[in-house]
Amino acid sequence: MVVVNQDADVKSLSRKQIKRIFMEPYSPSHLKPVNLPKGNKTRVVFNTKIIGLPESRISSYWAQMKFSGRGKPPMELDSDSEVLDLIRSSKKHIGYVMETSDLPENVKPLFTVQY
Amino acid sequence: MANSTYLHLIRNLLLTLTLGPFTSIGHALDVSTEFSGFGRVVAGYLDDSDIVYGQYSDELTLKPNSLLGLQGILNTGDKLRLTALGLVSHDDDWEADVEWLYLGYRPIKNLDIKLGRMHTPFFKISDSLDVGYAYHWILPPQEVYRDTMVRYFEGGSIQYGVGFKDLFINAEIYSGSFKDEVSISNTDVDLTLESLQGYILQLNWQGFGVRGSFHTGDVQMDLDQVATLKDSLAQAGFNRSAASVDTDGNTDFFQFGVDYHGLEYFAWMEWTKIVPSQQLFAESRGYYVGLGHYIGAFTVAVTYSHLKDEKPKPVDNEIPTGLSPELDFLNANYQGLFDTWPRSEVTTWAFTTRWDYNSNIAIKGEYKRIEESSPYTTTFEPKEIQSSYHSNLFLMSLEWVF
Repeated sequence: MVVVNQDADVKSLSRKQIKRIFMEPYSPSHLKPVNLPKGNKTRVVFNTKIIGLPESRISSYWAQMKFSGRGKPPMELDSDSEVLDLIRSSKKHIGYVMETSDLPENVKPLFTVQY
Repeated sequence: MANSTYLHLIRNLLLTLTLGPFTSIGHALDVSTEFSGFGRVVAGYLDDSDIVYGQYSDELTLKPNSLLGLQGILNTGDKLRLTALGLVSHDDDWEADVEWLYLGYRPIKNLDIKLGRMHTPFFKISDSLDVGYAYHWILPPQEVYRDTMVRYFEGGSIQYGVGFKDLFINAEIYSGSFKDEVSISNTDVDLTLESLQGYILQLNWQGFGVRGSFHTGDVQMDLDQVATLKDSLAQAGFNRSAASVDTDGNTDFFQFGVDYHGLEYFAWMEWTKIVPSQQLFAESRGYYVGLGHYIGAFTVAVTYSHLKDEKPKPVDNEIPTGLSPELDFLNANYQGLFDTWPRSEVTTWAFTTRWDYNSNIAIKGEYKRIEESSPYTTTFEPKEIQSSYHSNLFLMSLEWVF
C-alpha cells in the first residue's frame, strides 16, 4: 500500500507514476520517495508489483546512477512504523507499507497492490 | 595538474570545509559531504601459452581489472557540488589516480552542468565502466569497449532530462580535450585529442532504453616509425603517399544501443563505428547482442560480440618500382606498413553468471571463447604471427559497492 500525508498535494497516482518517483532522478513529482530495507518482504512485493524489476537489477541501476553523478537511491527507513511516522509529519514524502497496516489519522493510501 | 595534486586538493578542500577552521562558513553555506565507493577483485586465466589477451595469459592473474574506487561529493545546498573519484588499481601497481574531478551545477532539477575532468560518454555504461557491480559481465565486450577508446576528457558537459508520461528523454552535449598515453596494439602511444565534442540522446520507455550518440575530435598521435617513413616519402616527392601515412586527423565515432530490462529477462545490444579521416587507420565496426535471465539471486547471460577493422588501403602507383634499390626499399616499407597494420576481425561468445550475495556484494563467473581471424591482431599479443587465433578465457570476480 503506497501512502502519503493526508494534506499532500496529490489525489491519486498510477503504478507508472509511482515507479517514476522511486526510480527517476528527474521525476517531475515534488514527492520524495522512502524505501524499506532491502530484503524486507513488503519491499520485495513493491519491487515486483510496482517497479517490475528484481532487487539485484535495482541495486545495479542505482550503482550506475550514483557513480555517474546522475542520482542516488531513495532514503531507507527500517520498518513500516518508521515510514508511517515520517509520512504523518511530512507532506513531501511518499512511502509504502504492508497492506494490512493500520494507517494513522494523517496518512492516506494512494495505491493498493492487487495480488 | 598532476594526479597527486588533484588528490591533495580534494582532501584539503573536504577537510577544511567540514572539520577545519571554516566549519562555520561551511554550515552557513549548507555544506555537506558524501562518500561512497566500489571495488572488484578479478582473477583471469587464458588457456593458451602462445598468446596474451588483455594482459591475461596462461598464468592466473589478478591484473588488470582488480581495483578500488572512492568517490567524494561536496554539496553546497541543492545546486552546487564538487565530485571527485580516486582509483587505485592492480594494473597500475596500486598507484592512486584521479579518474574524475568536476564541479557540478544543477540550477533546476532537470538540468545538470559539469566542468572538469569526466568520463568520456562514448558508450552506454561509460560512466560506470569501473563499477563492476553495476553490470552483469566481468569483462564488458572488448569488441565495443576497446582499450583504445579515450576514457576521460577535460572540459564541460550539459545534460537535460525530461519525462512525458511513460517516456523519459535525456540529452547531453559535451566538449573538451584529452592528452595522455594510451595503449594501442599493446604499445604505449602519446595521444592528443582536441576539439572533442559529443551529442547523446537517450530514451527510456517502459523497461526499454534506446541510446544514440555521435562524437568527433581531432587526433594527434606520435608514432615514431610512421613519422620517419612519412618524412622519407615527402622528401622523395611522393606527397600523396606521405599524406596517406599522416597519423593526425579528424575521427568520428558513432554509437547506437537498445536494451530491455524486465522482471525475469533482459536484453542488450550496442553497435559502434569509428570513421577516421587518416587513410592509415581505416574504418572499424564493433557490436554485441546479449540475453539474460534473473533466477532469484542469480543472473545468467549469454553475449555474442564481433569486431571488424577494415584493412587500410595505400595510394596506388605513386612510388615507381624497378628503377632503383632505394625506391624499391621505400615502396616495400610503404606497402608493408599497410599490409601489416594492426587490425582485428574477432568474434567472441561469453557466458556469464552472477550471484548477488546481498545488496552490496556480488560474485561472478565468466567464460569467453575468442576467435580472431586476422594475423595482425590487436586482440591478442601472439608470440608468433599466425593466420588465426582462438582461445578460452576464464574469469571470476568479487564485486562490491559501499
